[in-house]
Amino acid sequence: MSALRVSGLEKSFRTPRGTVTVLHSVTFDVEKGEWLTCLGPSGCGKTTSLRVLAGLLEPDAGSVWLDGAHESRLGRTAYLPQEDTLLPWRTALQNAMLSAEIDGRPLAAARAEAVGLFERFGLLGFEDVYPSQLSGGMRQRVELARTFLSHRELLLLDEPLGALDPLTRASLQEWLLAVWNDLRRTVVLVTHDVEEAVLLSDRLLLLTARPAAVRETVSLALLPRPRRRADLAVVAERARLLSVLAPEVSS
Amino acid sequence: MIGRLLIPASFATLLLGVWELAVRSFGVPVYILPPPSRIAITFFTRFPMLARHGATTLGEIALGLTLAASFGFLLAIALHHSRSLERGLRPFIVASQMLPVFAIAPLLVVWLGFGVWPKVVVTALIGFFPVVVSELDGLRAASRESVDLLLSMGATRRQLLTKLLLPASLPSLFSGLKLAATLSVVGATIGEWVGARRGLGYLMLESNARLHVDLVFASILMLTLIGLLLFGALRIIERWALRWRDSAFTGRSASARRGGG
Repeated sequence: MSALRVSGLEKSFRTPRGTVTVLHSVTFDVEKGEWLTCLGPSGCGKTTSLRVLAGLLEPDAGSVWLDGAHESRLGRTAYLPQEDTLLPWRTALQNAMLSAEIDGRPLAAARAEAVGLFERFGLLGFEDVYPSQLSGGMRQRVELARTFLSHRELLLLDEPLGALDPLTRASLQEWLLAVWNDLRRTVVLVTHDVEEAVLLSDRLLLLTARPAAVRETVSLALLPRPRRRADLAVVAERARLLSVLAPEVSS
Repeated sequence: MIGRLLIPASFATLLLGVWELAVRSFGVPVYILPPPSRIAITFFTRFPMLARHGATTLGEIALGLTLAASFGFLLAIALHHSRSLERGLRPFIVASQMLPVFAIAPLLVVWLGFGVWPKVVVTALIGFFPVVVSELDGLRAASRESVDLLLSMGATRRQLLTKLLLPASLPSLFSGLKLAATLSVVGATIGEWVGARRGLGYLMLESNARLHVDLVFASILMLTLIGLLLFGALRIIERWALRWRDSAFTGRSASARRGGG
């Protein structure tokens, strides 16, 4: 059974300048434990598709099955929005425990679990620090800790590393890969960073510019793990994808 | 700290000096404009009486402000919750502020008597509007993304309110409360002018009628001190409630932690 099955999603928005179709006939499956990345040009509707998957937005047509069930998806996925969503009045640890509080889980256990993950995430000693005092890379790790601590099988990541400087970004990509290897969840990532996509994913969906439609599915199952960005196969795949995507981006 | 106070302090000294000198050299009678030295002496010698009347006024202000804050806060949440309630009530809330409170203060005396309540109601009416408006704005301060985040986690409406919307509204709420506190001093004074047997507003009218202008000024000084006290107390509560925002403070402790570890 697929962890997530999406079929024939359509979504358009009415704007003062007319109707804009954002998603057109988007269909794909994600297996349990798989990392699927949606790769497409900026503004092609990647965020909209994640908001539909998270249950925040209802599609005009098409359907989404989560674990084979076709019911409300609110509260059943771990969604990480693109913008910084750490609550500034909560300390790093309190932010990471937000989902446990919403679920009404026992807080002592949730705290112990969060502290454990903070150690794994290199955040030890920053539990009681407010987000405004953390660097961009650390804030992003706290957000990812919050996402992993939500006890949801499906993680929906909207360009989680998009706002970081290239160096921090590169090191966090490798770190995220290692963390995911340990914690194994089903992931749907959207990004426009080709290297990140090649480095992290089992499978890629190449999306067209607006309206987003699945143009091509690329399996990276043959690319051996662990991957490094200097691996010849990774470099070659990245170059191939760039050449496939480039005309689309420039048009 | 001393450097920051030096300029306003010397400015005040200069102003008071000119006032003192002008009154003395032109021989202005004390019942028209007393010199600052005379006001200071009156303030200290009549301090027990000023404090007694001040306590009455402070009580009215505290009660009125508490009413304004609680009703304003709850009404803002209700308005935020129901769009149709907001559409229905907003014009009346705005209109209530166009209403000159001066004009209805005598009516309040007719309805509520000479006791503490007409003053409390005038104070509450004046302080109510800034609280409602600032809290209503504050409840919209949370970003769409953080609302999305909590909804995707399966938050109920109550959880959304308590864990996101209310904490996000606090900075705005405190701006409203500080404005309400400033206005509440005016409210209580007006309430006392219209009819009272106690309080600084009453004392001012009484002293004015008897040409004890120095006591009028001493009452004004006392009212100013009460206003400053309220404002300062609110600032302290605000800094505690919004300590996460005070980056200079937490910054120092965080870097000390890093340096020490």
